[in-house]
Amino acid sequence: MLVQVTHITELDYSALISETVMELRMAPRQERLQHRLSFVLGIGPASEVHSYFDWLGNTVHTFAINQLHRSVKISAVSVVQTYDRARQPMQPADMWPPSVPTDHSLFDMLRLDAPVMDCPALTELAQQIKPSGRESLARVALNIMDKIHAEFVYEKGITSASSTIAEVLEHRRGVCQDFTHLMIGLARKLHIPARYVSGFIHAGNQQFRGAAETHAWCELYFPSSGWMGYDPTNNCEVKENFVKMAVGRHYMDVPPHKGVYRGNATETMKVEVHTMDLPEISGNLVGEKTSSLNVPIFGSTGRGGVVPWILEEQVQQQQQQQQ
Amino acid sequence: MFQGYEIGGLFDEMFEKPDCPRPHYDALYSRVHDLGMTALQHRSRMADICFRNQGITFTVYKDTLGVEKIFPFDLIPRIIPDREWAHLERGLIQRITALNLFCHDIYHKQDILREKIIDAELIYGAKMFRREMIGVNIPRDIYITICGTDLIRDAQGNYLVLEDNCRTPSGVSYVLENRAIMKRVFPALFQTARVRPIEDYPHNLLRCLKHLAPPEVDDPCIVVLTPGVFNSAYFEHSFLARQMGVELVEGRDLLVEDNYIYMRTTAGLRRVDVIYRRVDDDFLDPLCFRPDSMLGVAGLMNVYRLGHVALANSVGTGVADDKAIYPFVSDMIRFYLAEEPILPSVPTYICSRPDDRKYVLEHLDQLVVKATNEAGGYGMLMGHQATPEERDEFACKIRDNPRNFIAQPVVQLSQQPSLVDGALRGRRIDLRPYILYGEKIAVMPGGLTRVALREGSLVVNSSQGGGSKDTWVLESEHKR
Repeated sequence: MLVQVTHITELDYSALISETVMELRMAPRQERLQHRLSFVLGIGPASEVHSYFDWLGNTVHTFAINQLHRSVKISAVSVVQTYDRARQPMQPADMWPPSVPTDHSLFDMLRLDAPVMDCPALTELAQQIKPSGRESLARVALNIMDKIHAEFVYEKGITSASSTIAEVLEHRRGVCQDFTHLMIGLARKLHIPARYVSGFIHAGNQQFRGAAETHAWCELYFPSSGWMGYDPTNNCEVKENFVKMAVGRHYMDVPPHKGVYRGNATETMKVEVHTMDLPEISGNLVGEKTSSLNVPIFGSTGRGGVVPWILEEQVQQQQQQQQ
Repeated sequence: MFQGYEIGGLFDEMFEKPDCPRPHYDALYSRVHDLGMTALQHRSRMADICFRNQGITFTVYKDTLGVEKIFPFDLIPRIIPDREWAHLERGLIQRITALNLFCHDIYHKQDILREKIIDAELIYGAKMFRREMIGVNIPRDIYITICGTDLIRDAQGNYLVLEDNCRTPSGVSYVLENRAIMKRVFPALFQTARVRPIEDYPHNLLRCLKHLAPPEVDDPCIVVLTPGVFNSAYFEHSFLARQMGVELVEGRDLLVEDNYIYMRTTAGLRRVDVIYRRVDDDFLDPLCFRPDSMLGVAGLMNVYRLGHVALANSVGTGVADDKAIYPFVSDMIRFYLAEEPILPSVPTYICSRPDDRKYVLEHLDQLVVKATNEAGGYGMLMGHQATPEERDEFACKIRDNPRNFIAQPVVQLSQQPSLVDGALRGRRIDLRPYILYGEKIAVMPGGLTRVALREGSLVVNSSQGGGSKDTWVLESEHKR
């Protein structure tokens, strides 16, 4: 499938800010079943953009805006060719319990850490799904997803971006990020390496939760076939209408944008995602490009300007241990 | 002078047996003897006043009675003969070489894990393992520019490595100040004693920092980055900046522009090439590490990754001084250098290993338990001196989070005469030499000798009521 994704992020601030430094993980990944043909990034106020691969192989774009400004706008437009995983038929050899991975980079995808934390409720839920004997890994994956679908309710406003799976297990409610963390937690509990994926769904004329916004799902590692995608929010296997931006241990590794700024202001964020399938690859498609968007700046900050007050929190942070 | 001085089965630095000083202490012994107690106490008070007047302090956290303290100074120096020192020097150079190669390997090919010399889970479970450093190339491949390795001596006088400090080792300013004050209080002794000078340390440190600067920069701009005035080592940060003649900055003085680091000055922005940072990894860059950090520079890691700024020490060196990885340093030396370690380590039980953990829990009253990622004597249990309640509390902590703890047998540190309550008494000491890794590796002759001033105490950390002494490394005889 040939998909075009338009991903617009607008950040507005209640007062003038300066020294915005941001990192974006918005460029779709280059992978076996997904080829990024074009990526055009626009940033305003105008800023020099630099990119690198992080330790997980995600493309990161970074920029800094030092002048005073009241809003930041990011537009990311990509064209991606995706393939259905039927092209890579599942190997019957992938059985549960899986062998201990020899590739030690998989250890990170087995550790219960940060939002994907271990807790008694997780242990209990994992016990209920744990196969009694040898079982195909694909079946176990589907069982985990069924369990989440049966016992958890999709509802916005209950959890936040920093919620752990302990909170999700308590409320039994959450959004795609929570469902994904939960599935990762259950898979890791059952010794299956699992990772977090951020991306988009192109819904077309079908119904999907998480279409027209940034979405999250997970991938489980199968020794013979590699990473296989599962979307616990929509209770389905990942197909060619899914576009991957970034992968990580959990949400904290993959936020589409993260940044810090200087100034006493509150931030409001607006994110818009449009997807469409294209009939064919256009002849004048741009490979990779960054451009400037027209967002106003308000002169330069006083370059000697420093924060006048020392806050109590700062005192505590300064009291870090010295060796 | 030394009436009632007891050696008591320990290794005494000064005395072979009662009233019989080791040869390299002869001159000092006679001098102290001739001086008499009244004069010695008088000089001790002179030294105290010097420290106070110069504002040489450190900070003890969680103390309600004011946090600024004078680091207690003991007048009787520790003396290391040249041949003994040469041995230590070789051992320390070997060790920092291996530790540095280990950091490079862990953040690149990970051969040591592939060859199963170290369990990969131990690395991936280390709090200070910085995944953000994987695949990042740093200037001249020097991760550990400054290392402070703590040495102790057992009852037979053998030197052992207790731990390495590869992140932000502190204390070197006290070494320099101790020496300066010692010279004022005992000027005559220095004229005859052939003590190797240490005063070139700031100069050597500066050369090491310059060595990291981008090669195309002629006159690199170097800064010392401090967490701020509330940090326990703030005195040292300002001292070193002043001695090197470079700026002392806080995170808020720096910013990122066009992928370079700049310092705000009264004359506008000035590009910074090398940062001697005394801020922990966690607080270094709120974009990359702790987002709530107010001490760092947002975007610093991106500039570092591009090679547009150098950091000393590099990020992620905590993986090399993690106390659960310490027992493998001897294996690292064999693996990377194909040499036998010159300095032995203290036997260590790793609580994440079930057998070790069982042993530790059964022998808590005989062991020292340490948290793997703490420093400064915090989070530690001296099993043989603890109450049963304290031991129970630690047993719970170990069961809850075994990866966080190691245990070692109690090593009876060597003792050295120290002036306590108007008499000379044996008190336990350790030694922290400072190793600089620049164009070549150089060890400052001597280092910080810390002394546990409480009777019988084995904890020398300044934050736990320890003091310090001047450390003399003697010039070799045939150099004269």
